[in-house]
Amino acid sequence: MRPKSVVLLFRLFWLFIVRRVVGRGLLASPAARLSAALLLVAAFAGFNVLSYVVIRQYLGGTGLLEPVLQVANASVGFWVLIAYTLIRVLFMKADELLKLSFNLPVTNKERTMGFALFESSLVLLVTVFIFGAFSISTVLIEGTDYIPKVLASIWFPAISTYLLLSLGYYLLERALQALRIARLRGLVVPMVLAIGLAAAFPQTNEQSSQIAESYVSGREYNAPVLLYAKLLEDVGLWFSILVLLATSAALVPAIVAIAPRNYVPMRRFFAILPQWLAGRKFGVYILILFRSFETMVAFSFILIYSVFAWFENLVLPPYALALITFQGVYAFSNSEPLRRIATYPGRTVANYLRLVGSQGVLLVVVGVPVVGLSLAQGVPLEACLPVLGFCVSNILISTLVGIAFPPEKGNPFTVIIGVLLTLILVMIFALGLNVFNFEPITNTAIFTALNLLVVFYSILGMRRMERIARNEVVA
Amino acid sequence: MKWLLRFIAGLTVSFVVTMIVVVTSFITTMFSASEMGVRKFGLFGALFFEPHEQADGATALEIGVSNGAPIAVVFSISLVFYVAVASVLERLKLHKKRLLQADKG
Amino acid sequence: MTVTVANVNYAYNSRTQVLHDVSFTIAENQIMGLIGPNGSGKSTLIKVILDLLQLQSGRISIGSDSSQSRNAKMSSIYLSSNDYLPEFLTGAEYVRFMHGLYGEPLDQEELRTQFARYSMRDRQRDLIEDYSHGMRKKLQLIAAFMLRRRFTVIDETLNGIDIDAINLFERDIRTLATDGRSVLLCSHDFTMLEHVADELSLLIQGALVFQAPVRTIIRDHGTIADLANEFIRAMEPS
Repeated sequence: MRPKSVVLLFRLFWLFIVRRVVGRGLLASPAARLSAALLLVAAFAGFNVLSYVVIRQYLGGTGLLEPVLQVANASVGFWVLIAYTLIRVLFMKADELLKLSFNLPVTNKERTMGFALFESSLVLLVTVFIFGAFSISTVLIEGTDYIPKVLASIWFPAISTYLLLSLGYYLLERALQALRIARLRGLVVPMVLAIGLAAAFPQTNEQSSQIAESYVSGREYNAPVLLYAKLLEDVGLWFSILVLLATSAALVPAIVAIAPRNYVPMRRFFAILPQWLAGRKFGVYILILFRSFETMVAFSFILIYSVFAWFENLVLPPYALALITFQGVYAFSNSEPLRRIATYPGRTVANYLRLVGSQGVLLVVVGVPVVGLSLAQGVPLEACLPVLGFCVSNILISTLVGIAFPPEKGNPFTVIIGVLLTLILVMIFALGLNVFNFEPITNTAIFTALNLLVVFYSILGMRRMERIARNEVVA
Repeated sequence: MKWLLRFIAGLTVSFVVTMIVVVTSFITTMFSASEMGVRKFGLFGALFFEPHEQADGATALEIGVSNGAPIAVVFSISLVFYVAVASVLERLKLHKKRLLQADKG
Repeated sequence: MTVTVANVNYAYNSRTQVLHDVSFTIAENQIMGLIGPNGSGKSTLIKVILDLLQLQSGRISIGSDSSQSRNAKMSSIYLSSNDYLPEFLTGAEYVRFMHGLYGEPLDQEELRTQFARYSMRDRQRDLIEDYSHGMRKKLQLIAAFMLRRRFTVIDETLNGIDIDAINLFERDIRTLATDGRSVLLCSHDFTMLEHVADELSLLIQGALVFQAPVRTIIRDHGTIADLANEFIRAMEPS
């Protein structure tokens, strides 16, 4: 394996992201790109300031930062697993990216490693977003002496966890290839990760409460996840770094050795539901939604969460249902061939209604058993209704995101920016309306008006895309 | 139709800007308030924030709008700014079109 | 169905004029071959004819209807050079969907026969996702031959399909161009065009530089390839 090829591939993948992701849809104009970048930087800065103020106000000078850092250390594995799951699910659809390298003189091993390096740089970005604010705030409050503690409690465990997860993932890929079901990895891998999250969550909670109890009773708490922090305390930073390097030196070659040598294309659709549905336009929109692997992934996450909630006796409204409503992000681009293969694509409003209507059908199909389960657990119906309202709203919003930031086939990354910006705006609206303290009926009216606005802009966006395709207006 | 679309876009953008300003002011006010029972104001007196200590020792937060005028001003300024920028952009586009046509002729 | 293209000009922007005053007619029961070098404007011309690109100047009629009318769109079928196939459908579902779009009943028996004829027996229940490049092209042809629109446009759909399928296609396209139906066939396969096309149009840099019956071309120039070479030599800077 030539490291130079791996680095070249890594650079090629990043070039792809910069050219094909940051520069499409609404981000096509430089002004929009600058605004989006400023909004993201402002959001991260705001997150930092918020974290600093909260930690200083509630923990500064209390001596409580020490156990809080230990709790953060115990939860690092869980958060890295979340970041890894997000990136891994996104990468499942990144066939186009891999195909870029098929006509280059590189071996399959080099391709896999270049891809792994690219993936780890993205995981690093997500991890910086998750832990960055906390790390910066603690160092600002406690001084530079705290840097080794933050490194040993947060960043060293994060690196080792990521490497362990990568090794686990490649082992799973090898196993799937051996069982000749590697094409189904789009479904199997997210399910395994979801089961991992379901197992890690109570474990993390349990450890956090044990750390709190130990602190209150003045006992010392030891666990494998706190290894780097313990080594720092008992021996010193140099030894902690040495152990990190030794662990990485063992894990990285293991990853290189176990990474699959051949590439198996992933199955993106599953032939479920009867074929008579294909005879009707609405039926075809239902087929595309139900058959896509993204829906299967969301469904499997909801299923695993529901089973987990039942056994763990988590009595909560059916929040997990929201996962199924993010399919709207792909609804417009996935159904693009349906509007392209016919010389008469149909009316825009009718096509929009088919897009959101099919998602409504999916929500009902998945929602009935999930809400039923919540009701059986004793959650009142009044607590479930706002969740359903949110789900309907999310279908409309995610469909708009999919129209404004259309994800390409085989390139799922285009969707990230749209989803991030939308989440920021939705959070601002929710918090803003909370400040106004309106009556529930007024809040409902405002949300309805906002949703109508979303519908209006979605139809306008679809019409504009059609006009761009017909070269009636310039993109 | 074109003007109706522009009006709706203006209202949407102004609403978003107003919400961002309100939320930012609210967060700033929230973290500058430290004493229990003292009401703090933000955004030129438009928003208030007051933490209370309850009988069981828990902290209750009272938040809300004390004066809607500054918020209305923020909304109006955003709307006027949007309309101004949109009009200038429209004129510049027309000018560019005329220049291109003259160049072609 | 007579298709008339009269004085069509098209530009993507103020600097790039793609079509220059293109005019021709495709008569009933006629297969018109369209050839030209890459970038000569063939696909743009096809898209303008089918109203997939907005007509900027000139006139296009499909039968007695304007190309923008719903009637014209329902009378035409377009087999594009790009793969815009819904990969989440099986082959049979795709044909069913196309029949649904045109409001035509699906003949299951004919569907089976066509799949068997094009060497895709027992593959109609497989997802298009699992089809090879050639199979995807054949699927588009099967749909077009089953739907028998009055105006069929084929834009380089035959690239990459095997010789057996090409032979079948030549027979089927001839059968299609009867009972008043017309075909516009854009291809770089000159031999196939010599076998099936009645008339040939040559587009170079957006202008229709030559149009004649294929029989006349063979008589005067030998082959379509010879005719194309003559034009290429004439266009070369001396």
